[in-house]
Amino acid sequence: MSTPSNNSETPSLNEGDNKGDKVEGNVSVATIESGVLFLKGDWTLSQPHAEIPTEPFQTVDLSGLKSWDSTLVALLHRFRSSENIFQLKSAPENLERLLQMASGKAPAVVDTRAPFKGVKKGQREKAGLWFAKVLESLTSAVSFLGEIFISIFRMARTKKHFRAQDWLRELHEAGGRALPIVTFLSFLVGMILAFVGAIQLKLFGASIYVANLVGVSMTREMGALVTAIVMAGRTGAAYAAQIGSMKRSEELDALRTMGLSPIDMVVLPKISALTIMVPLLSVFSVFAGMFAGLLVTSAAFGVSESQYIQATVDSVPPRHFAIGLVKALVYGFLVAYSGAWRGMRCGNSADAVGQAATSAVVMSLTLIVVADGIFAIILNAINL
Amino acid sequence: MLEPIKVENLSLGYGGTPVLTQVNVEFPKDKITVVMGGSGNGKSTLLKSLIGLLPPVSGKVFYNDASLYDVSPEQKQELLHRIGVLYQGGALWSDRTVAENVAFPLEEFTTLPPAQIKEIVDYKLSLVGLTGVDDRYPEELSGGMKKRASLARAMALDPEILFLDEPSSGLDPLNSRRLDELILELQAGLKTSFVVITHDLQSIHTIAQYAIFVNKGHVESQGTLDELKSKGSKEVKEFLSGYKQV
Repeated sequence: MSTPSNNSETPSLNEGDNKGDKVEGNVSVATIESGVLFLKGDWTLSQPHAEIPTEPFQTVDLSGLKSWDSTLVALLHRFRSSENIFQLKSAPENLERLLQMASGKAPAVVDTRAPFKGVKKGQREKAGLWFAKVLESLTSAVSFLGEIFISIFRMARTKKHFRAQDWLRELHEAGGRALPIVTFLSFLVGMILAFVGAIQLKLFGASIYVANLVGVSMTREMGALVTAIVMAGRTGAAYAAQIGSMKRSEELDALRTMGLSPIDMVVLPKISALTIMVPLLSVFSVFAGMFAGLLVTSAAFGVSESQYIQATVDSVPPRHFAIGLVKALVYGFLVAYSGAWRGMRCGNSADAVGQAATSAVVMSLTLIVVADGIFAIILNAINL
Repeated sequence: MLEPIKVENLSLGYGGTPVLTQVNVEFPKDKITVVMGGSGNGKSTLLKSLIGLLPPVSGKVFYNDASLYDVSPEQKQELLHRIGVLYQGGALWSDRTVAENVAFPLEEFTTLPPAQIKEIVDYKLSLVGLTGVDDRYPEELSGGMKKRASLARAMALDPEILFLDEPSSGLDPLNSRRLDELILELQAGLKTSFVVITHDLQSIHTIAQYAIFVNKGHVESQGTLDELKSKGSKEVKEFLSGYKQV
């Protein structure tokens, strides 16, 4: 077997030991003459092999082979699988054996392994370890953040190992599939805001100002907040559980032993998808909330639709939208970061995955509230 | 081509707790080397270090003349492409089908067109006796099938060394025996080096062409099974016979 490599110094393991027509360079050549398929040159994973002529053949002549690996065996196996009967000529020693192995039908296998029940830690042990863990957790959180940024720069620079299909799937998971629940809950929040506001404002004959209340609240604050909270419970927890399960079942180790970084392959697609999708979802959230406000005030408080829309347009300047979008962007990152970090720190016990998911939600909500507070202070300080 | 792996003065541990100390081992080329020993003696810890997952406290792991933990990240990646690992539980990526799992390393590290990747995937799955399960997800497979699929993935890039972590664990004796036969067949066919971590006596007696006995945190004996049975320590003789000697 040989190993594919860009390193030209890496030799192929199976140097062809047959003498035959020489082929210049590392190329594969396939020709058919009088019912004999001649495969010559380099038939390895290092490059796509030559097109196989479509004419029928009865013999495969390998005398011109320079080097080979699974590429050649896989091709011959495909020929055999399609019931193409042929004879091998000048085949390397172990090639026929590999082909026979691949053709053999293995009997079914049965799993008799007992399920893993896990190990629980005692409460006192947990309490004793808590103080030491706080410092270690902080160090780990900062280190993980650094790894994410290094990964972002690495991916942006090399674009190596970026899998568009995986990323699109993450976008769909974090965006499209979350849209109904985000819209529905935002609609309800809009209704509640409108009802609570309208009952009070009606006392002063100012029901029309419900449009201002709902409009400003949803664009500036509630749209981003509701979206982030829903995504923390839905997607952030799922990220922690997924990554935690992958860690527990050695799937992350499998990536590492292929020389791939789990941050690049697993964490970054999730974080980037959610950071992009939360602002987009928050736009739907804002409009769902304002639409609910319109329905409530027009149906129950005698404000016409056109009055409500005009009042909303007058009271909600674009900067409120911008502030809401920036908040949603930050919240999206925080939710994804919390989920991914908790997943990567997941233990190996059976209930560790559940704990990771719970911790991810708690951490997300805490960080969202803290970030919202910081936003409030900064925006107040700069009169926005 | 990778020469045998060489381990020099290797000490390993977790969080300051030593697990293995002063290990000096050379793994022979093109043979099935079994790393054996009782549970908790450090076999899996040694494996983790050999495959780049656990940096040593001290000492070195050499692939050819390159020290695995001292080379640049690019060189380390190049070395890791030349090994394959079968994990104890299979470690198949659960969001990908069996075929996608096997195709993944080929997609990442070669420039082959999809049709040729599929050809190789079909061949690798046939090689381990798995046909007709390409579109199944790992959760739809039994334990034995997962191991075989994982073995096919480990072999995807035609590695020069295959590491198998407790291949027979979780399998009934019959399936365990079949897997041993598959390992022997593969080794004969592929002419590649295998490093198998196990404490399964039947497997050891079936597949071992060279054996390393790990006991109480250090490598106690190494050689062929016959050598260990005749000249090994009391502990290794007990281990290989399965009975306590009096």
